[in-house]
Amino acid sequence: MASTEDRQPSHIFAGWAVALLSNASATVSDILEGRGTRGAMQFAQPGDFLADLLAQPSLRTRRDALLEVIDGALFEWMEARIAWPPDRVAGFGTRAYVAQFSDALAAVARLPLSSSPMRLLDDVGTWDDRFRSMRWPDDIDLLRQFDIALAQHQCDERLASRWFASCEEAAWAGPYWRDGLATALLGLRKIPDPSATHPERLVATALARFAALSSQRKTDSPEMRAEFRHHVDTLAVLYPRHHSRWQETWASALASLRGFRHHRSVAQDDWLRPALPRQCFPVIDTARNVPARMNWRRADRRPTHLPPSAELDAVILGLDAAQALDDALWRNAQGLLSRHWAYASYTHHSHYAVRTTHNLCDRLLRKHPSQDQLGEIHSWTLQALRAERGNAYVWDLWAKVLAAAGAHESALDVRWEAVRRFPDNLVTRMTMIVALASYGRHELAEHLFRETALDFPNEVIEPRLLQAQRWTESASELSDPPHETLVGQLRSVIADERFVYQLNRAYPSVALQREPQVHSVLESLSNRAALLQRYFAPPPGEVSVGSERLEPESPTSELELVVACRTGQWSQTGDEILESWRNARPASYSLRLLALSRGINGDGPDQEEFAGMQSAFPQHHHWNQWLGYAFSAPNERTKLRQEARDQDFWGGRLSAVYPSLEVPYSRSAEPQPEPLRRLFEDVALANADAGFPRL
Amino acid sequence: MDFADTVLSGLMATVPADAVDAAERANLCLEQRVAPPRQATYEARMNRPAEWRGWRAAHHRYVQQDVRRRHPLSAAFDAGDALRPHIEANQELYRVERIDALLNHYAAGAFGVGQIRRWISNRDAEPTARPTGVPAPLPTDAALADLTRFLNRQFADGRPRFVAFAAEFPDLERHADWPQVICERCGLAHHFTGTTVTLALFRYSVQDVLDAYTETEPNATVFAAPTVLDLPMSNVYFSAPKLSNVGHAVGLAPRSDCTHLAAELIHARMEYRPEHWVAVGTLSRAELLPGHISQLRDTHLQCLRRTPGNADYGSDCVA
Repeated sequence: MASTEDRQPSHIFAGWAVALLSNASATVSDILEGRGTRGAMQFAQPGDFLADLLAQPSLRTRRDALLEVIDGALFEWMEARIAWPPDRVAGFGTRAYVAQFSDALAAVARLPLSSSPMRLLDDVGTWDDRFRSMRWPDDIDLLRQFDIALAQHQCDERLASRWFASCEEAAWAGPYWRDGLATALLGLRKIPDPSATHPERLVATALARFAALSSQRKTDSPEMRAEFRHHVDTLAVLYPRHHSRWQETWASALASLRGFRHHRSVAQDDWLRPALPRQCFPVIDTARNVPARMNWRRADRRPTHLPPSAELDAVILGLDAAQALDDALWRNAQGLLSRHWAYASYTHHSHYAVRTTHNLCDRLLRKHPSQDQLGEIHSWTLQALRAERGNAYVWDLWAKVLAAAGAHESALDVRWEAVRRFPDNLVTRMTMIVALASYGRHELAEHLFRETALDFPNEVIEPRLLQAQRWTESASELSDPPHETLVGQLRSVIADERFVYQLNRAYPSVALQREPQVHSVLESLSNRAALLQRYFAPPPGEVSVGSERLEPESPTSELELVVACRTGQWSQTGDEILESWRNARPASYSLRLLALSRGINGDGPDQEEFAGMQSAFPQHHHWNQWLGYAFSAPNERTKLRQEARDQDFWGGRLSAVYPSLEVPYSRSAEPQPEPLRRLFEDVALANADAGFPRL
Repeated sequence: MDFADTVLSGLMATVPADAVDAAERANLCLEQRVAPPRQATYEARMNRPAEWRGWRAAHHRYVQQDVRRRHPLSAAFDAGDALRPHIEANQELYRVERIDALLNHYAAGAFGVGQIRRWISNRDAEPTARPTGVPAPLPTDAALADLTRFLNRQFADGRPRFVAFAAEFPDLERHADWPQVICERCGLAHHFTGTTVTLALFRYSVQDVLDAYTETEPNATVFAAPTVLDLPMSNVYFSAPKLSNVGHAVGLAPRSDCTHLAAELIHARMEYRPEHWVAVGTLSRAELLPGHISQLRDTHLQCLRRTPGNADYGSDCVA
């Protein structure tokens, strides 16, 4: 028997190279699906096999051509697979489907591709939605595999916010927290570093934030502290630095926590001391005593501190007092926003920048900004939206900016999206109603009004909202009986909508949609708005919403499924459909909620099922705590009531679900089945296809 | 295996012309250890393929869907007995993993084989020999643990793990050419790629595997002899005789006296721990072509026929 060293080189690989060059799609599919004859290479992972093929010396001259066809075919395969409807996935075998997808993503991570990663990134929201619902704890996890593929190919800092968000999510201690944290830190380590800002600073900042949020959410545990220490140690091995450099790094990481509540707990608790080298202890002592805000020092090269709040107050005062937007006012606002965003960009903590953007841009809009100024306001708004998609104020601001530029249809589409994303927000609903009435969509406005009255039945909604001709009346006259919170809200909503409706329409709205990405996001929101109108609109015939806009977004859309559930389109076979979807997407929050909502009768949702869902999705704590209020411990309920009272029980929505909330000292937590079912559906709608295209 | 499904038995009736197809068919034919209920499920999953490629793809899907879970479904033995006959809890096992993809995304050029070797050697140093002089874990232990975690996640789909007994490879870790030795004896032909591949050697005890299931699934079948249904179709795999308690990998550098024949088992998925790393090395060997593997299979069959009671093993399946 000849030695294995004597074999002739590259015959199997050469054959596959020929096949790839003649029909890349079929060949890549053969590899990923295990159909092709790979002989001795049958056990090799597809990514390794393709990497070995590209590395064959005999194929060196054809390497670029091979890489190009593999690149195209891999993406094509994934694009076709992701479009499989859930029943097809379940028929194929969900695990096998997910395993093959995982192999494809591993191949994307493994190979030096150029096109596939960028195309994945272009529609990152859609991919996120699908992959997030196809994972098992400590098992195949498509989202993690996707993250690794993205981390491997990132070419700038754009994904930093993604990695920070993953660290923040890990602090909820959900089933994936360990992997989520580790993958996010890998993503941060692999951000290309042209400006030499040092990857270890980003990782340390993310770790500090993980610790701060764990403390804040009271999810921290010995395991989390051990994990923190583990990553601090790993960081020190991967980046061997002098201790003075680590001092600087951790000082910067701790300084970036100043914007967080409980920021001192990281320094005070035993997170840092056991983890950091002794030389860094002075940093911990300093961090413990610093105030949340420090004076902004112009001499600082790095924006490590928030601009002082007095400066923001002064600009707001100036804007409120001014009749028109003069250069000085504009420059002040512009300067302050730039510094806020510089701070956000350096620390990757954007909450204050988002808040300031809303505060200033909302006011700037009222001062009739020029076209260029409006463009800049739009850019800031999008930046704020990128940073905080869960902020209803920013969505409202975006709609106003679009309306101010004359893009009224787009503004309405944005408002529909806000209505579905914030089922706990009465103002968003009221704004939508007023906006629809302003633009003459009275029937739709009236129907949404009726639906809203069902969800928020505490007389906060006022029918005269729909009558634009009566908007000259004062808000207090509109509300009968007067309700302090309501009066404020009505005044703001009506004034805003009247303002943007009457605003100068001279701006070409296309100016705001110049960027292809923005254009495509608005287009997708427009399609989605049609679905949402179906969800909130009456049966056909009562209100015309335009039949041409009733096309489903996609046969794989969870949003579509939730709409079908609400509109009763699948009352007969609904449970079977839902079961099939749940088999195909075992980790979908929306589908779990929808299944629970189908089971709601006089007794509420199934308690055991609900508990399972709560532990599987702790990051949705905001919703879970109220959906499961009836199951909470009495002391927990008391605490929740206190917190919710400040928000007027979600504008009255919670008191519709749990009438006893309004009764002082009541121990009852009995839910009303129908309002509870509607709330489950609305929250499922809010979280269905929640990923957002890259703006 | 005799197939009840007429389409499958029809495909089995003809020996394919292609050497790889023929070897895969032979493996199915030779297999005698699959329990009837499992075979029935398998046949139903195959969806009556029209040709061999379709069967191979359906088989692949079956492995991904039904086999690669947290514990093996191999029905070579009755379920519920965690430890197979002739295996002792204190026996040591070897397993080889390719780590190029891991190094590619985890290390990103920041470190390589040399650093991992250093981490392994730091781990093995006596606490007193450590720079700090105290038996606290070193930061490099954390780095090795982190790397191990990424490796575990890379194979997180619950695939059964093929292992060899360490006792059959005396002093393996001390050999500079350990990658070649173990790959040749364990039939790891997919690491012979004509390029340089990076391999890691892991060593752990049978007890380590059992411990991973003691609390959660004490009655799970953790160890089993591999069957043809436990892995994708391959011409390098060779079904073992029914009476054998283990499998036998096709030797890639066989000896005439068959002493190269190594036993192999599969066990349920277990997460590697940092202490399981033994060595890291590279291998550069030219690929094995189907013709060569056919010769190796013939030699392997002759060796199996030399084992007691198997003189005519495979005479119905292999010409």
